[in-house]
Amino acid sequence: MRKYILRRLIISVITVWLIATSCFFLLRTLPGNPFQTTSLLSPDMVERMMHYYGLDRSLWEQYITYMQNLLHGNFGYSLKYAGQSVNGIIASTFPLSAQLGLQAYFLSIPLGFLFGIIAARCRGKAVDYGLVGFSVLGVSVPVFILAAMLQYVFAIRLKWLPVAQWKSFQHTILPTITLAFSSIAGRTRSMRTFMLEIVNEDYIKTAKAKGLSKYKIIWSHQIRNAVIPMIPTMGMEIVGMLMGSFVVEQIYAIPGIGAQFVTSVQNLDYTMTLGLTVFFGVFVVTANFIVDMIYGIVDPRIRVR
Amino acid sequence: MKKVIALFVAAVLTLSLAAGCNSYTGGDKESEGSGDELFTCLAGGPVTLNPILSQSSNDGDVFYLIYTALMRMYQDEVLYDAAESYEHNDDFTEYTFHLRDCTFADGTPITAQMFEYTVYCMLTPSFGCGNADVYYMLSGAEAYNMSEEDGDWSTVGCKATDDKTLVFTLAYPDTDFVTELAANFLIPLQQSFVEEKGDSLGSSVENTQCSGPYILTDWQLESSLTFEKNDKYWDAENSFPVKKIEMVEVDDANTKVAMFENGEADAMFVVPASYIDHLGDEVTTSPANGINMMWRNSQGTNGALMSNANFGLALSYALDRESMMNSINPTTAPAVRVVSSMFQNDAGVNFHEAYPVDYVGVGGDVEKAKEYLAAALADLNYASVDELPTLRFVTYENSEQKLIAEAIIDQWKQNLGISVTLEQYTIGTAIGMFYTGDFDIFDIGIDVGVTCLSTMDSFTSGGSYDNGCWHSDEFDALIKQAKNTLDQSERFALASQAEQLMLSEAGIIPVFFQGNAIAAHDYVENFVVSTIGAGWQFNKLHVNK
Repeated sequence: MRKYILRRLIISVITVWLIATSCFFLLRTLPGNPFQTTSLLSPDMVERMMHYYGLDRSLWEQYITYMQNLLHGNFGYSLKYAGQSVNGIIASTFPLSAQLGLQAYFLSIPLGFLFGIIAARCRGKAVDYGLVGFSVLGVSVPVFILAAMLQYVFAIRLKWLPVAQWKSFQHTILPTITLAFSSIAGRTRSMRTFMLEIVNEDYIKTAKAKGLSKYKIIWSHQIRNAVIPMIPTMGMEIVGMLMGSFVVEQIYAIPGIGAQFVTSVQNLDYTMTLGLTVFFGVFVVTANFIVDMIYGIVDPRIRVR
Repeated sequence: MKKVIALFVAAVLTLSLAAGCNSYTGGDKESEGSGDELFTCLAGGPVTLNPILSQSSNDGDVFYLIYTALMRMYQDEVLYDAAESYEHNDDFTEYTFHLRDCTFADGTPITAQMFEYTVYCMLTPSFGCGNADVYYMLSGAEAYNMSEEDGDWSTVGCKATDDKTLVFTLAYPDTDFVTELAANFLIPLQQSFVEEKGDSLGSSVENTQCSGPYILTDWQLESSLTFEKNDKYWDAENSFPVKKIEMVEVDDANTKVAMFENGEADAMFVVPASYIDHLGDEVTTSPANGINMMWRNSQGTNGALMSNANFGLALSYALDRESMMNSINPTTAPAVRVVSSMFQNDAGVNFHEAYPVDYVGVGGDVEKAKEYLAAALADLNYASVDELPTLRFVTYENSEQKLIAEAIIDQWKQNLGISVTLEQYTIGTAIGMFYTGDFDIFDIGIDVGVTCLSTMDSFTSGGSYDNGCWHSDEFDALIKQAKNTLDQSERFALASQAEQLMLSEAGIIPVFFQGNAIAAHDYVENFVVSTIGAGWQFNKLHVNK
């Protein structure tokens, strides 16, 4: 097991290095520079700023400096937000995205499972059709349409909740529902499918033959076995949700990390884009590493491979 | 079982939806209902409050509120701020400003040396200022700024002769110097504070030394700003009456309008064009400090065609700018000039009226466009328009920009039979392509500047907009001569000649003058944004709620 952990750890470090290196060089192939993203600036002024930020040095020199800083956990300073460190920006934006993601995640899990179970149990009935319709709608309606509808109904018409911003718990409700909606719909469909697949399995028949109650069969055999195939995707889903959603954050004016990622690429803010990519990379690689470890513990055959 | 499930569903839905609703009392709660406070939505907030490294006009909007300037603009009027008087010599090459007693918010007195230090920081190469050229009118400034190493500061025409006196010596006579100074918003910087903060200057509330009518008490990057009135501001009793201002950045147009309509915001900046009719009387439109124009690439693969003046004029004359801009964005005005209509001579006559040019009208002239196209084809030995290559129209990603570009391309196709493809890139990439010449036609908006010469000066050799696409020695000479001319009517006449030359040679093709649309509820008075320079000009703002 120790050897397995070590091997996975080395692979993880190499993956992060590859992400940082490829991103560093790919970013520089984009035309333009970080100082001409809002207006036209004379070439002399651009040269002056490139020199000030050390971007006129050779690419290798910049790469080595960047890697040295990266080893110390320092992502450098943003080129757009003068005086702001990338670490500082991540520290202030990530918690908001993470909170939103976690809220959406923990809303989507019980509701998705519950709707899936109900649909499966009521197969062929109006409730089933209703929930299947909801799940199709939930997956296919674009987030910005859903958000606009929720804002219109709950904020403008009913005045129950604020339109946007991130100040109090009330402010988080609409963004949470928006972000969780497609996840609930997707989980409803998956849960329904897996539940129905299991109904005809031998062990269910055995359970029925043993005379177990309907409730006991659903709870102990059907639900438990239906959830298993969904567990691997849930791990990556939570990572995706924690990383923020550009669209949801933009619509609800949430200063999260998702919006930062998109705008930093648009602004050609090299250090910011790199920092966020590496941060995301480390996050995903760590999540994968943990999943691999759990797999290794659960299923010893994986360790051997 | 069904009952249990039904109960569970009801419980989850009720808890998730209604948990927070009980204490929320509707939109009006957000703006607190006090007449002393303003809550507004922003389209884009500041990226830094470091005046040396700032490049965004959004930063300038904040500077207007938190810093005292030597002089400041209010609409098109120049106001005294830290300066209480000034005088100049007869040939407008030396200006002397006298400072009043005023302080930073922490009580530190503001001195003339602090203003000199700001100019020093902006012009000294090692400080990396990207806007240093706004002070190139000072004698020795350009040479000082362009030197490889930090040079001799005494060669630059900016000196504080004592704590209260600041003297500027100019490289050429400039009757508009005070306006330029006010629009560029020269603020005082305390050297010890700048040195103490280093790279983090202006990166947070703690790293910003307020001296203006408001103190920035909270700033969440790309999210929100809170200002509170600074009672130590020298004119606190007579101006900037609102006690507290809260601003929140909302990028999404629908959300911004919904917040405004829902009473969560008292006012908002940059009303999306599609909502102007919907919001009706609450919207105010005004000309903005920008012009959208097209460049033709004379040095690309289609350089011979694109450098042909007749072809450029054909492209320009074929456009019905008036119909196009009225339908896409009614806050804008069709542009067939380079100099903005905002500028007037001393007699109060608009530059456009006083100095007309011989060019196409805002409705276009298709017949004449066809004549110019025929002349261009003859010049370049093309038998027909079908032989022309398909041209690349490059611009930045923006939904309105897309509509405008498509409308232009369609008019060229319909009126002249020219095929053009549209390419849109993120703005940073698009500007990179502009400077590397990777386009046939490039479209972008630029600032019209502070004076009628500002825009055209940027097109002279070595100017900000000189990307090698168009060059004229005669144009350069006219601009230089105009800058050195004291008499306003003579200077305007020279500017007009230069403008005519630029338009006749189709150096650039103007498309439209940008507009501003802001919205405020009826209880908000004097919600003003700048037309020249940057700034939320809340000097006379009242919230009568």
